[in-house]
Amino acid sequence: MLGGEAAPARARWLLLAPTALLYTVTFLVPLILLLVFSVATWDRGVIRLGFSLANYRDFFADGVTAAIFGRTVRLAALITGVCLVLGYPVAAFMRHCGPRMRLVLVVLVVSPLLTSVIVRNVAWLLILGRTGLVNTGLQAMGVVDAPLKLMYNELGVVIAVVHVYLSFMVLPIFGALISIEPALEESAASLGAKSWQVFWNVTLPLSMPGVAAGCTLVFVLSMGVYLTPVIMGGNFVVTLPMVISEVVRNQFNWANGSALALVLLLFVTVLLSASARLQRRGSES
Amino acid sequence: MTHTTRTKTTTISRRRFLAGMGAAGLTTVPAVRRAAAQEEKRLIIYNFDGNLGKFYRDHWIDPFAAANGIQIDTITMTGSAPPMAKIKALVDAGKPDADVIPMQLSDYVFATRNNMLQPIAREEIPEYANLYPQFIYPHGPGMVLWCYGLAYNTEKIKDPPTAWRDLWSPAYKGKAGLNEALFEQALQMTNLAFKGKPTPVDDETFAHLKRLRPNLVSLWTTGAQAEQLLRTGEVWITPLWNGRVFKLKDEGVPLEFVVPKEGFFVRHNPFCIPKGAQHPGWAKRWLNYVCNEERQRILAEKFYYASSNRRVTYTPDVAKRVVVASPDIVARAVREDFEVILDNLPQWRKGWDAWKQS
Repeated sequence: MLGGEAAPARARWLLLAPTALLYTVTFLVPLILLLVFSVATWDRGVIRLGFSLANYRDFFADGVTAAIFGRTVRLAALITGVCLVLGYPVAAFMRHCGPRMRLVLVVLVVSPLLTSVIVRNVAWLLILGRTGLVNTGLQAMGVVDAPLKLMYNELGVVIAVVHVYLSFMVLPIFGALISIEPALEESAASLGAKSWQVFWNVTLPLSMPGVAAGCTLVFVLSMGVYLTPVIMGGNFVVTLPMVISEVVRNQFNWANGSALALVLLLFVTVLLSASARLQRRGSES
Repeated sequence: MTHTTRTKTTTISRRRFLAGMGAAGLTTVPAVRRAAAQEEKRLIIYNFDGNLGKFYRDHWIDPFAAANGIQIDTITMTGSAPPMAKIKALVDAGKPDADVIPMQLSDYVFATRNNMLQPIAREEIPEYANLYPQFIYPHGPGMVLWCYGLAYNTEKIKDPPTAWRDLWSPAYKGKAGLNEALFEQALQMTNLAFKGKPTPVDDETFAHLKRLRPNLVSLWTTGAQAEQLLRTGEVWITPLWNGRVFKLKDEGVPLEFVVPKEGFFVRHNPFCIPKGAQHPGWAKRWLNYVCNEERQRILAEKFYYASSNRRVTYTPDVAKRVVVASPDIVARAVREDFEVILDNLPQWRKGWDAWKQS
């Protein structure tokens, strides 16, 4: 009965309508506006609508913006790598510990997300600054003669961003680890595999979907860091979001800002697609 | 049927013309008052955050609201710059969200180029008669004159700096700061130090900046950030606004403010009314109120920001702190052309970003 089958299908579409409307207004329409502005031109503070690829050409040709983009990608990769190295052991420990300790670890890992970015970064100033806790302690112990440069550079940015984004690495990996059948690892061990061999040949491959998800999430988030490089990097660590903010807020050049934002969006979209494809291939094999 | 229009011509004498113009001018002020009287008794103002915003609320906004029985709402800006992109969109839609907007000078140039502001006739703000002429804009009065010079820690630096060029001294290696948000002023400062004039910004400017790099700890973005750097001793010397320096000094931070001998910068905020504002009459009355001597004097005494009202006088201590306490001192400030600045911002910014990465 066609009429009977069509009615539930229509109802399903109708249920989607509020969400579709919300996404149309808050995502699709702004995206279209970004596209329109990205091909406009900036004329002494006045935006002239039209069609020009000058903003995209400048991205590659001006010798500065593409380099900043490359630096942003490098920084995001570095943050992702550090989060992976620190986060995987935490996730593995959470898998094997009791529920109470697991809850404590989850709270610890997630707690940076509960404070504002400004408060977090100001707290890091007190810890990593020239007269902060770390330098004061190291000098008092005689480990160093002069304060170490722990912030207003890339190191400070990486420390502060890893602190907050670690949870986005730990939780997906933990989710993947907890879904591994213990019997698989026990079987490998019973067949003579050493513990590192069990980990390398059984646990790690089966946890890769979680690793991929965590790395993708942290990388994408790190591509968008803005306030932390301003505070912890002393504005010497320049990321593409900082350039976009400056271009839009101080130069009133929404055409250029739109083009840069779309370049960033396209890059992240390609990355997410590639990651999803890799994960699908991994689960098929 | 054809209508014939008969046109009557009248010759108007010069005397009658001038009398008519005078009468028209005199009727403007009551017209503003009548317009205000006809408007809803409400005003919406963009206000600064932090202590300056609190000051405006306590001394400029609430007293006016109480005296006139009107409701004044404020929209707090983040930092000291209004959200010009949002304001433009609202003005273009015919519905600006505020009646008065204090702006940075580059914001003002942007707003005028995009036809966002209502012109204000001189007669509509009687206090204009008491303002220095250079602070009367076609779209509103310029107020809150702040001076940009060198702040230094008196405990760490025993030999006081006297010039912008002192920032480059090897004695300040890893101890200096610079303003990222007003990077165009840093570029002009560099030019003043080595070329004697603020522009042009070119490769030579960035070559000098490259030599400054080892001295720099941080490029701070907000006044609060600069304060924190100075308080904690991370930075010993940095360009900064006079008001911030003396406020910190009053709080016990060992700082002093120096007017560099190559020249100093003075900026201010034009207070303007956007096109389509719902309460322009009250906006003009408020602007007139805050321009007056009393309101301006209180600002100078509390924040050490000089006044554009020539009737304001300062005690010797306040005069030293506001720096630009007289018209001849104002005249000695480095002249900045904000039309040129806005035109060149993209190119200067790329050079600045390239320098930071070098």
